[in-house]
Amino acid sequence: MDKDFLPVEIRCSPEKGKNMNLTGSPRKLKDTAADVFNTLHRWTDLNKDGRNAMNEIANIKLDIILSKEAASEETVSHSNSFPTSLEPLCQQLAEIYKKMEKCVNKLEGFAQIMENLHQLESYRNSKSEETLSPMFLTWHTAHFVEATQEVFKSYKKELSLKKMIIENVCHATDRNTMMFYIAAWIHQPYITDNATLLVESMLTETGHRGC
Amino acid sequence: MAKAAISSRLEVIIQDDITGAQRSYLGPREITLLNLPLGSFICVVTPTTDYICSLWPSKERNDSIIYSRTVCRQKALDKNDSKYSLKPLHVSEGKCIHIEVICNLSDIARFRKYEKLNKKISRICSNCLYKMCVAENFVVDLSNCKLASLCGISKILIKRIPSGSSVKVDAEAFIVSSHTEIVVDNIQSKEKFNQVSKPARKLIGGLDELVQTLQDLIKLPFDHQEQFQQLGTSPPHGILLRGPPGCGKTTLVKDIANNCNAYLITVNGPEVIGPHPGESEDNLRRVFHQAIMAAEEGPCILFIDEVDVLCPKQGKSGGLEESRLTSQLLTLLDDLPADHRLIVIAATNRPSALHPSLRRPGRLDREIMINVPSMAQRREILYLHTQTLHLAEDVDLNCLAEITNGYVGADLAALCHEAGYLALGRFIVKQDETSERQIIHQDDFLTAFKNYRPSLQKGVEGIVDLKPVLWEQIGGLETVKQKIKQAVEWPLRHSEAFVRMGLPCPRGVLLYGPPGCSKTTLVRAAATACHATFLSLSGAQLYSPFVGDSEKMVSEVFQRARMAPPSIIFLDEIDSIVGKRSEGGHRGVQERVLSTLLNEMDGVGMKLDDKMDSQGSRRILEGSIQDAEHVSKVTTVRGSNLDILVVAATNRPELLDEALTRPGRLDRIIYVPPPDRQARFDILRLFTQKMPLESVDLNLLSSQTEFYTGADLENLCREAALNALTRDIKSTKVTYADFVKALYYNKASLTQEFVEKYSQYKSSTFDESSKNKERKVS
Amino acid sequence: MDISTSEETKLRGQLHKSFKAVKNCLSIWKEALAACRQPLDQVENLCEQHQCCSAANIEQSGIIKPFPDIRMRLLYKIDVELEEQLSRINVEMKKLENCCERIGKHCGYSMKSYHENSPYIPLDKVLEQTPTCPAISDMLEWLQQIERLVFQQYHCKKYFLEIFNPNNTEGTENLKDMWSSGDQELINTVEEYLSYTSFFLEEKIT
Repeated sequence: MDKDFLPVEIRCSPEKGKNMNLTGSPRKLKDTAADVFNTLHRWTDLNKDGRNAMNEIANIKLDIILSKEAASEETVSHSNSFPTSLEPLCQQLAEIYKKMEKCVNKLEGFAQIMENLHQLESYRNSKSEETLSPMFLTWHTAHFVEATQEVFKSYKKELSLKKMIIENVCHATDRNTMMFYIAAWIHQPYITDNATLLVESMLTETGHRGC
Repeated sequence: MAKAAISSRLEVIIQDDITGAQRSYLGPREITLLNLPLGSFICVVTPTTDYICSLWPSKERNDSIIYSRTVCRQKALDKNDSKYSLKPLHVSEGKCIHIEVICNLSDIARFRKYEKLNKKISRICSNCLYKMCVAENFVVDLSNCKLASLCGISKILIKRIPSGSSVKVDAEAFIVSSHTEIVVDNIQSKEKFNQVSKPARKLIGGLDELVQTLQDLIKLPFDHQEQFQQLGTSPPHGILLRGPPGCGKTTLVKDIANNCNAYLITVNGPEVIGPHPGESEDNLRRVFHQAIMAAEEGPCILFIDEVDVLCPKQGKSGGLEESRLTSQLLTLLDDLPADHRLIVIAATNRPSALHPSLRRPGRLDREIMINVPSMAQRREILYLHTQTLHLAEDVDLNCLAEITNGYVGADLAALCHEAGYLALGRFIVKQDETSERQIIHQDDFLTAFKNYRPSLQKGVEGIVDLKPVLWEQIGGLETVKQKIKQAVEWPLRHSEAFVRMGLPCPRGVLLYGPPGCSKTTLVRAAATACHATFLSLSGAQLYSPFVGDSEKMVSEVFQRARMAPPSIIFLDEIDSIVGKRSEGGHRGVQERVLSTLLNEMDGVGMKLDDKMDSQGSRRILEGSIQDAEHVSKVTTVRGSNLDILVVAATNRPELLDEALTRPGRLDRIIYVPPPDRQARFDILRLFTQKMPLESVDLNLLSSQTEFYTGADLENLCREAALNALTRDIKSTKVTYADFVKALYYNKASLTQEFVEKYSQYKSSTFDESSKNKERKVS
Repeated sequence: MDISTSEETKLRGQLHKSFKAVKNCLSIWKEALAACRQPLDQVENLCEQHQCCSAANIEQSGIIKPFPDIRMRLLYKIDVELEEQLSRINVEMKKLENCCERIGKHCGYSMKSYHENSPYIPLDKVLEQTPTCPAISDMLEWLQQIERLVFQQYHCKKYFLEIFNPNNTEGTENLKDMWSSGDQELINTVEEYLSYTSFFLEEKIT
């Protein structure tokens, strides 16, 4: 393999199309990568559901906020800020959160698997005293570990943010704060570009994404 | 190139161009005459303005012309010709065009930021002007251009198109294309552009000296900022103009702004005040902000009219709102940037109502007084106002200026308008006399003068509608008349003679004598003769149930009199107004009025704010050259009660307080005696002038009417005439018998004893007043 | 139609081509505008989010203590999204620009053709209109008018994009209205002109 020319020619993962033949660590790695992707896909779906629920909450809350502003003099009783219609939505959000939590747990598991694979490979390589060769195209197992760890971390952080949002969204008192929560939910600020890029790279590396 | 004149029968329509497409629509006949292809650019020449438009056939194909006003050039006024014409233009593509951008004031800050990115703004302008045809000094109105209004550009002035920039040498106009380089020379605000491009007609007269002073004050900091910095002094921040309403404070500021090429922002005090709490302060801040923004662009004058509304003296009636506004104004004045090119001019006619801290140095530290115009100033103002009017030969502005005492500039303007209306009315009535041109005669002015009351005399106590009385209408009393003329008319009419002789002008004249001996009529005649402001006070007017009101009224009348000198204050029945100070008795209202009167006539001084420094104008009025030393001496002697004459009349002189009659106050004491025989004859002749008399010997009658006063004699004549009518309603003659009958019923109102009392008083006071008189005469 | 000179035929031929081009451009123009609608909605929405997030007083609540950099991150995400939507609009802008240029060129061609041939065409021919065919003068004027309108409209839109700033509330709140103001008028005007020329466009000019 002529490494010097590697960056020039974009090759497909050598394992592409040879799914059947893949065994051992590469096999496991590839499956895990696919699992990571699927989990993230699931997360995205959940996020979309959450977004709808959030929007509904926002509509209800904004109505209240607006009417409050209009009648600022009259004391609007506290209970009015939390109409019963909010309750099922909050319930829904809580369920979504639970599912998301599961996703993150899964991600943690995948990161662990990657770590284990990496250790196994290192152990093997140290025995054979060969230099570390890439698993598929360019990435060593260490890269995979790093990538999954990074993804896990950012989703974990995002999850804690979601928790905060779910807990507080119904208590927002002004429009700006309300909008802030929604934007934070939609745009998921802690899921970095880097994490997204890593997942894509991982998929390319393992041959899930064609070139 | 031959001009194709638009035939006169054409209908000319100016199009408010909604598309900004710079087009004109002509009938086919005109197009054939012009012999130009469609779409070519032509110049539509109208009496006042030139327009550049492209040539298109009119939709109706009729002989009318419609043109857009998008690209225009105002013609110089003197080159007015009332013809319309069309001019073909040599057009080529412009290579480089220098422009000036005129934008909204609010956008100017943004544009200044752009100035560093000049490219951007010139690109915007290039897009706005795309495919337009322009020439030097033309203004492109972009109010219909969407792109321009988005950017806040309202107009583009084509400053300069460098020669040689065109392909054709003789090109007169240039089309802007994408290759044309647009150079933005300057950016200025629409407000300033409009102000500068419309120079106001000079309408300020008689204040040349003041204008010069103010201009120096304003211009120096603008033009020589470096010198000020070198010297380390800071130019004046603010100027306070004060003076009675209508005397041209606002006009003066406008004129100066025009002369200094400064941007003027005018605020009326009351305008700023809003109904909501905090709104007024906000308005004020906004105005100052606007002014500071405009000042960045160039000299700027912020003119606050009626500043006393914004900044009233505290404690008088000041609510919280007012004191907040006051402090806001003070803060804004203090916070003005040190290197600003902004000058604040405030104007008020009630300087005494201003918060004193506004007038401390650093805020409004210069004070300039504008006074009621003097005669020479009035003449100048009248001259300015009558410039545009068609005057008849007989109009004598000098005479008008003389009689319009107390008129301010606004009054004079109104007078001219009024005269114009009168003339107009006359011409409408007799329309048949078309041959005579519509001109305004002196009579129109005089009628207007009679109808119009100067604003200074409106709403003041003591102003009377004076029925003019001529000296000739008063019979007899020649010596008294002479004395009064000397005491009243001379100081006012010939004050320069008094100055020449080093004579102090008399301040007061007391007329006394038995009732009905025409004291009042005499004063009236004097006032008529010298066109002075005539203020009259009587006891009935003065008494008010409120404590202090009467005294205030006296002061007010004096203040008014000082505002419009020369003036006469007439105190009829003065004994009833002031009376005599009793020995240790109770202090009544009369006494307080008396002390006010004494103070006003000859006090230590007066409130500085009420003072009118009229010496300067007085000198102009006199029109004679005097050495400065002399004048200063005179003015110190005369003090502040310059040109004010107090004339009092009474028939009970013994009731007057001695302090009133001492020299310096009512020092000319004139006895108006009951008419003697000769006088009675004169009076009778006057009253019987219009009566058809038959065999009535007035001489005999006058000898029979000893102790009859003028009023008695008037009554007598009336009675006689009535008697004649009683005799026979158809009677046409008044006979002697009628008079005898009247004499029988109407007894003389005076008696020997009564007259003697006056004579006694006369002799008793003679010693005192004679001393004074002698001093004066020598 | 009566006998036309060859010059007139040439000129009519050019006008024919030009109006065809205008017709073509109009449909492209409309499509481009339609394509802008969705990203514009997005931009408007994102701007609102941007402003609210900048203004939200979240520090006060203390809830976000664990997320010190949340505002920055969130704004970054929103800005990235904004960029994407704007670039989508810019793609459409390029199409509008092309239309502008094409119409401008055709306007130039037609005017040039008219100027070259006008000495040989009498004025009454230029002004002559038939039930099926508008006068040459009218068509030239329309072309110029269309060019002007399209140019202005394009540059207005461009200006909006240039001054676009998500922080500026005034500029973004009614961005869509401002952006599309005048669009309908422009389309109506051009369509009106095209309807006048519809028979003319169907004619075969030899």
